[in-house]
Amino acid sequence: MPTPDPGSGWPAQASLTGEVDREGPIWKQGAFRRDPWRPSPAGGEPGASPVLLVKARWVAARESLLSRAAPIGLLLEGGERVDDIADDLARFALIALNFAKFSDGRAFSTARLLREKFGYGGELRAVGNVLSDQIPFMRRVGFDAFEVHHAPTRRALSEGLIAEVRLYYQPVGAVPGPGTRAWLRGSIG
Amino acid sequence: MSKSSGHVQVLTANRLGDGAVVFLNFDGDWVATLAGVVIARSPDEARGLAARGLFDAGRNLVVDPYLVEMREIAGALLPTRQRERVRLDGPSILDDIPGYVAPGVGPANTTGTAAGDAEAAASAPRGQTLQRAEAA
Amino acid sequence: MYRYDEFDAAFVRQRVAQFRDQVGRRLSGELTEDEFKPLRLKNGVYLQLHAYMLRIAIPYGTMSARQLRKLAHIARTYDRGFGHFTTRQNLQFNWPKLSDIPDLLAELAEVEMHAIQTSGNNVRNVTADHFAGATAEEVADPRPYAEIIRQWSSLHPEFSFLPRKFKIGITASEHDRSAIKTHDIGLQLKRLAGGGLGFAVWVGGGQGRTPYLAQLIRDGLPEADLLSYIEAILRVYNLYGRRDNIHKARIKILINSIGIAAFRAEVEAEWARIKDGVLKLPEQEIARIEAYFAPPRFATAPPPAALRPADRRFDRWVTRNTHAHKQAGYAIVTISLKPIGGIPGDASAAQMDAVADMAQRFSYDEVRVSHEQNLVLPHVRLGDLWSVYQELKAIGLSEANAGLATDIIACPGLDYCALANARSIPIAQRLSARLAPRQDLVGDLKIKISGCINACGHHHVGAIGILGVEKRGEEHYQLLLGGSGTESAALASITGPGFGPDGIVDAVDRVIDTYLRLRAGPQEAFLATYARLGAEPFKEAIYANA
Repeated sequence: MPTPDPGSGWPAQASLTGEVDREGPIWKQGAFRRDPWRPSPAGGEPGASPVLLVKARWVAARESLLSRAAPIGLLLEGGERVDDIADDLARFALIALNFAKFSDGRAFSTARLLREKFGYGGELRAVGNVLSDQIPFMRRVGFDAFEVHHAPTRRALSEGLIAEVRLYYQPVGAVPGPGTRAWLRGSIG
Repeated sequence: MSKSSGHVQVLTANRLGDGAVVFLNFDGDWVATLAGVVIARSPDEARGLAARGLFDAGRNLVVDPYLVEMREIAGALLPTRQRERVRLDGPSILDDIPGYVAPGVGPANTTGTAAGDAEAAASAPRGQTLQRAEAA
Repeated sequence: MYRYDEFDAAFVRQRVAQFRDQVGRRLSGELTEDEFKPLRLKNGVYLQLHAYMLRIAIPYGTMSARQLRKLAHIARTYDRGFGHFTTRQNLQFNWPKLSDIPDLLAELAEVEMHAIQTSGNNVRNVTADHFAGATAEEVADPRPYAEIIRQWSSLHPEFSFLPRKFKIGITASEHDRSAIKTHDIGLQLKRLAGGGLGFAVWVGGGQGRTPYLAQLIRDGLPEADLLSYIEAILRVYNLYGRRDNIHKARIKILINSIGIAAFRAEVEAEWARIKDGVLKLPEQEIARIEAYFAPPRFATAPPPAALRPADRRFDRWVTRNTHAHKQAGYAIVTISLKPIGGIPGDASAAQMDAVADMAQRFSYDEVRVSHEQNLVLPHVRLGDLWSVYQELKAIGLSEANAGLATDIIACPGLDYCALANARSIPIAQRLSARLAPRQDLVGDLKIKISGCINACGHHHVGAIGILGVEKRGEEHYQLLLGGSGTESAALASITGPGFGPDGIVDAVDRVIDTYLRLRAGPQEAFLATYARLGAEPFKEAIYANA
């Protein structure tokens, strides 16, 4: 049974975690792993394996998908709203947010809304242009999995060499993590 | 750009380590002077030069390579755009800057590499474009 | 002023280590330029025309003598002996080597300085009234709030990849010396009906290609809600600001496109959710930060009977370059970095050292940078004004021109900047020399020059604004009139066809001639005459014999 990252503060949810594999694309829980998820085939039925749907597909096929037994995941592009599907979020074992360019920072806000406003507890995965210098920020806003293809970033993750400033001036989430400046916790602590 | 208009192209970039303005010369080196610079006189040559710029940027020698249009006058090269003239000659107001110390003149900068020394020598008194081209 | 504690000191040290690692990976080729560029921008490192440029943060324009001395040392050691003070109260060096910058930043960290977020698509230096903490005009010193925002916005994980840069300015007086209406967020500190302190919050100002003045989004925001409200604004901007076109990515474009009412609705909906959460500012923490900005223990010696021996130049300098201080017996001194015919905003290492010295001896160890590219000694005893003037004279910074026509604001322009289309500094120099003989006659007049549409010279809010453009490969200049960045903010209007480098200087001369000829009297400043008569008489004079 997978456990959440210690200190992440997010409640435990059943999510899929692939086998450890050094060549695997997904960095999660301290290792590279195979990806148990597949993108939804264009047209036709999703089949029986865990499937990742774009929002338009979910909205169009929602009724038939709600009763589906196999895990469903949601893939969102930067700027896609989540408040109009807020009631469905718990249905997704995985929500993947795409960073179309690494400079497109919309998903940082979407991630915080998912975690803090809508209480989403499943796997929140960063996909697209994921580079080592953004990963510390991504972790703080609630991502707990990363699809990484950039070779130097993969090396940095594997070797634990991501240079980060581990002191935080601003609380993120309901429970400020370690290293957060005390006074910005407001009434907490 | 054509022979009849007297316009040619040279390849320029900024050196990665110190940002200095450099040009590609016939030895394939990036140098801070127009002496011995590679000149493209046709669209094909220009394309080849631009490709070389991208290649060297990929090798992390330089940053932001691009072609500069020059007028050839009596064997000397003069950029057609004011922007490129300023980029070649350095700020036009160096004489008026309070406390300005030209490189290689005042206290040594700290890196002290051979490349750094060469840059300092090459960039000390920024001369006239035409004179530098004549030295080629 | 604010002093780092262990947390702050460790933060900048870790940041230097992180950037040193990033520079190393760039120089080794592990990072491409595309991947490195946003990282170096977050540390204030630009690639300009001739070299890298480093922009160092001077939070809300306030420095100690020790910090200014370190900047002088850096100018001598890593650069070419001088620095440039900017229109956002920062300092720029024009020739640092990329390979040296980690060491340079490590030296800055020793004196509690850094270059974090002085560039890049994040929250930039929060600017404040350069007379803060010294003028009687203010409701309270706005700088503690600027410091609170600075800390909260530093390496904010959600807001480090905004659609575009984000500028916040804060003022606490009716007379706005910070030009808050030209900022993405402008804050006016005020006393609320209940007696506590709060803010009028303005959003969507900005210059550049399409200038806008900010609109009021909320008045009477209690101080405890400052951070949560700003976070709500930034979240809405981050989600909905345009990402497809960098010229349409500022918040001003978003607000103009959906309207202030719709924008406000989005912000307030989000703010309602978060306002009572972890970002609510506890009173004791505001007070703790305020304590750093407590005024110095002013000496209570009576002011001298006479300021000095009779000296007409000194008189002029006192009249022009000093401002009333809230403490009896004191004055606020403006050090003009605009010697006649000189380069606006530049200072040599030697001048920086001398000013640092003066700050220590005459101004309780404090010196400010204004967005008009001058320096300020905020707390000078009247009895010391004569000595200050003499020492400024000795270093060539005693020009009595604060706010006059030769107190020109100019961006670095094409002499330095890779974005520029035309040179601005030589135009400033020539205008300064041309107008100096009549500057006292003309009176208050702000001339602002930008070398490209990015408007770093703030030409949209100059009483006389000049915009450099490129026309067929050559430098060309547009003339604008009637702008102002103060509480009565207004955008300048273009007069008509532009001019070459000689023509623009003559055109400005003719504008001045017209003003002097048509003003109601010496008490009517340029902007008032322009407001009264409109652009027509000026245009006629400019384009006569065109």
